Amino acid sequence: MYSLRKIYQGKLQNQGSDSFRFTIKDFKKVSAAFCSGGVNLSLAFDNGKKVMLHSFEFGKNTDCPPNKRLLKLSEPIEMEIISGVVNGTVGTETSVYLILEK
Amino acid sequence: MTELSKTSFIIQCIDKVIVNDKVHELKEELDKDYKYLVGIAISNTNASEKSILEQVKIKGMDVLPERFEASHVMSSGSVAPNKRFFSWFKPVPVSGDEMTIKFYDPSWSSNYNLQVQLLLTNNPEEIINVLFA
Repeated sequence: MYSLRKIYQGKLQNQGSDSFRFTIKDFKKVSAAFCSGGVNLSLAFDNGKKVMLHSFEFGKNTDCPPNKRLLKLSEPIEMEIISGVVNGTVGTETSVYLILEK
Repeated sequence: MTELSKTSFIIQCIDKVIVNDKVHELKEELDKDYKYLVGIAISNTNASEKSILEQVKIKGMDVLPERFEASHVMSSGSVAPNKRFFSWFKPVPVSGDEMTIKFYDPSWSSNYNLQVQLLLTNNPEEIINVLFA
């Protein structure tokens, strides 16, 4: 069974880029990641040592079933900081989500 | 593979006419014969892709994170009806509980009927195989 967590929410300023850090507790695995359509996402695990995504573009396609629009991962975690960067058009409101497993 | 037609489920729909770009509240008691909420979809393609689900709550608990973009639970007509549900959350135990949804569409331009579809079941493990197939 999964838990859905929002790890970032913001309006893109500064040339359309923003960074974030989020500490995960009480979960053992990241199963998937997704964000608002039309932005690029970079994501690093293991306190910044392991880059999983580098400027990955999330589309806005609604022709794909909602359960399949996310990027599946299988990343073990343990009390660590997940960091990331979102890029897009200035003024875009965006959020980043993780699917976590205990 | 489990087929949807062989599982115990119901799709409960909540409707509301969206008349402006302010927050609209949808409230309804869920079917008491079903124990779990396992999927959410918004059928209406008139809602803009910027629409926001401000809150989706059952018994005061969040089902989805606050300010969840409605586009994540919307699909085009080319998606099969039984694949239109978003299910990446822990099945929520329910039993006739009241569900509250706060929705707003910042790009609203004319009235439309919003329909939120809720997938309820008594066997979440069984239906999950269908939803993620």
